Amino acid sequence: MIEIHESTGCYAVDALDPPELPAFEAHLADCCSCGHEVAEFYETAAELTVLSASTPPLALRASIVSAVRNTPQLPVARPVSPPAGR
Amino acid sequence: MARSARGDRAAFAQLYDTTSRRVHGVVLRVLRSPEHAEEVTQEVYVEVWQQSARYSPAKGSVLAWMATMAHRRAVDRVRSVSSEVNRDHRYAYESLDPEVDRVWDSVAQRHDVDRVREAMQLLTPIQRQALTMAYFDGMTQSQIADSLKLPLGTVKTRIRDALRRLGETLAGAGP
Repeated sequence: MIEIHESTGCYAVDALDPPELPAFEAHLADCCSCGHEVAEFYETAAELTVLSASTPPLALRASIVSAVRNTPQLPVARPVSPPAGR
Repeated sequence: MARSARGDRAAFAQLYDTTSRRVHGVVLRVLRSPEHAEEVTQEVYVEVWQQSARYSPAKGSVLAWMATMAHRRAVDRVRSVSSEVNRDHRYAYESLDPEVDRVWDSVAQRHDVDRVREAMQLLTPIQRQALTMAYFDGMTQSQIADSLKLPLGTVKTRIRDALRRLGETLAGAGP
């Protein structure tokens, strides 16, 4: 029987098999230590992105700047429940 | 990010300039298609703009927040368009080849890359390969288990251990 805590790493790098997601996310809502571990793993995974760094085409910058001109921003969410893991 | 959340488009453009090589880079690596990578990168930045008021330092660093979003979108996209079965993953880590941008400070970039590469070298080969297959190839734990001929539980543990070890090393390594 694989312990659910063992899934934190796979979850943080989007490698959990999709059928396992609902159960793991439900667990994350209740388990502080898994929540902290996942948050740390997100930071670590973000550091990995230097290994694949690649400058996008200049046209993409213009396209994005233009796209946000017409995109409304969402307001700060009113806190009604503990933050979810995702 | 706080200025972006208040609609400051110049601040948002600056955020793009400081993060886009890493965000676009991981999306491109997972998707392997420059065209799809541009589309998904745009989706990520538009979402960042929309959601910027929802970011708080309590959630972690801005880069981690963005990289997590980007990685998830890229993985969702790659799984919806390909079955992954034929890609050779044996040299997944060795084939990572970050492009040094000549315009920006290439010395600092090489230092950043070296620091992470050295940390990766401290992992066992299986930890390193499983993590690379998950993060950079967008594979599921089951696909990795099949490819490496390991039990599912072992793959989960290797990836968890890899991230813990890497996290410890990078935290201790300094700037």
